[in-house]
Amino acid sequence: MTEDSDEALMRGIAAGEERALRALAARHLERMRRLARKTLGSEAEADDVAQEALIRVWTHAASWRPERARLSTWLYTIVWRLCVDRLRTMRTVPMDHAMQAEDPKPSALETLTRAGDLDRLAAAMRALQPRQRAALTLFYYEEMNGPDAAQVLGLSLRAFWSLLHRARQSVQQHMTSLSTGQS
Amino acid sequence: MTLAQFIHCLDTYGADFRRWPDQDRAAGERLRDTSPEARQRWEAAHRLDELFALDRASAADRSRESVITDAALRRIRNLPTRKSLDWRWLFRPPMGAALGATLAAGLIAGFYAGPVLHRSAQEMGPLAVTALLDGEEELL
Repeated sequence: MTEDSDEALMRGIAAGEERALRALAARHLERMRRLARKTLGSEAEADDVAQEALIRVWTHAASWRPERARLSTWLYTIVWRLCVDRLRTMRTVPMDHAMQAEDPKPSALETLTRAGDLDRLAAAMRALQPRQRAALTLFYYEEMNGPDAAQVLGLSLRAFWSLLHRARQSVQQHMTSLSTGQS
Repeated sequence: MTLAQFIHCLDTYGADFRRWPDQDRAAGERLRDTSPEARQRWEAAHRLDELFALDRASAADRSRESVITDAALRRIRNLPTRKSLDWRWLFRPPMGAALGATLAAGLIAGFYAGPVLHRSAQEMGPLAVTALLDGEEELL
């Protein structure tokens, strides 16, 4: 059985087929959630954003034009904008505090020997601005190219590279300081 | 490529040379293979890239995704029905048949009633004008 293309799925969603939305979620939701989780630093907030994003996909499916943007870029843009909206309302909650919320389901990998490194990475990511976290997530976790990631964040390519550079440097500096602080 | 340029690229694009700009890739690989300091920097960047990949792999939770999709679909079912901007429904049965019948009835009525109406209008026309002028005179 062949998988439907993104275009076919979006046509199905625009025609009101729930099956098509489920198939799209199976294909893209994990990555959409990851961007939201990394940007917002909270599993619960990321779940809400992912749910809201699926509803936006349903109501705006007809407005997606494959010749203008890849579906993944369009989806990430929806998620990023929802994250920005949510960050505005989260202003009263210190970001670091929000991000220290325990993940209710720690994965098996976190118990492995590199768990310390992952903890330090998580701490370093928490120290970044949400936009820097989003840049790192899109480029290094989602393996998007620069122009697409810049489009998602609404930046020029030059501004995106600059943001990414600062974000990665900050992560390295934080991780180094955390390592030396522990030794 | 200088060491400073190499470090700048590492801090932006990471240790995977495939992600570097085309014009810097070969020079970057050469410097890594010839300069011990560049090699050391590259290895540190590579460790961070590996950590990103490990972090990426550690978070997938498929069961949560189906819960989110189900919740979204429940909300979607309660949304007001989407209004279509498609006008083709006008020309499909039964609306298309009704529209066609109305047009045909209009044409037939026009064909038969037209001359009669035209004639009566010609007859009534001067009378109407006279009545109007009379009315104006009365007002004056």
